[in-house]
Amino acid sequence: MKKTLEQLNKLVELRVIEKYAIGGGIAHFYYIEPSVTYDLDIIIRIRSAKNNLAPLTEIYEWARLNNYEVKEEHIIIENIPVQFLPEYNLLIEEAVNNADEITIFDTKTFIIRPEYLMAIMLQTNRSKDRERLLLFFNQANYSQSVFEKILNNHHLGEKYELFKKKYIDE
Amino acid sequence: MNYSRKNISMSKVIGKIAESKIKYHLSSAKATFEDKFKVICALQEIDLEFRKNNPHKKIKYYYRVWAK
Repeated sequence: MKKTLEQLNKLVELRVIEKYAIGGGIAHFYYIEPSVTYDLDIIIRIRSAKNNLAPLTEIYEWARLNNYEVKEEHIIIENIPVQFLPEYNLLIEEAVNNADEITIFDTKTFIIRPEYLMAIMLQTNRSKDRERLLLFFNQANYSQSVFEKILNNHHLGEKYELFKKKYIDE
Repeated sequence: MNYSRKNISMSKVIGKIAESKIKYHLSSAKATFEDKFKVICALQEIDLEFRKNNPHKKIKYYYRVWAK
């Protein structure tokens, strides 16, 4: 993992990407009890995509030059399958802007804050998101006021009310 | 977490988690991320073993475990 994180930081140094933050399962398990996951989701901001229809072109080129295998939607970086996800909506952009700088495995990195992860789970609303969101309410150290502000800014208040009614208030 | 799947013995699960050197809760307040990462790797091994015995399940990165 340490080597993988170092390579991600190198992508920023090389200006292949402008900014990144860990999202997905690994970010969830930073805040709550861990479960199985097989990939490392990295949300990225690309400086100026030369090819807007294929924004990951430069990353794949970097992977090829560094002999990192590409397998389906992942690039295997130092033995860990990494999925690069360009920011795809305003909530994700804001989440990356506000990502926390942390140190894990003696390496500096960036991670999406819990309130944003919770809002993203509410927005995507797959069964595993609902399951993990409940764990966040029970285990994560988060700010309810920050979470509600994010929900209001991104029109997720109604979804939250429905979620609470169905899974929390019962 | 659901450990009730067929072909996975509870003792193996417990053994793997003990191996990860986490002696009590895995909640964020009690374990570092590095500890949790060891658990994720141990759970991967268990999950992959399950899938090996259940080939109809989708196998992804069957040959890789992050702990290596």
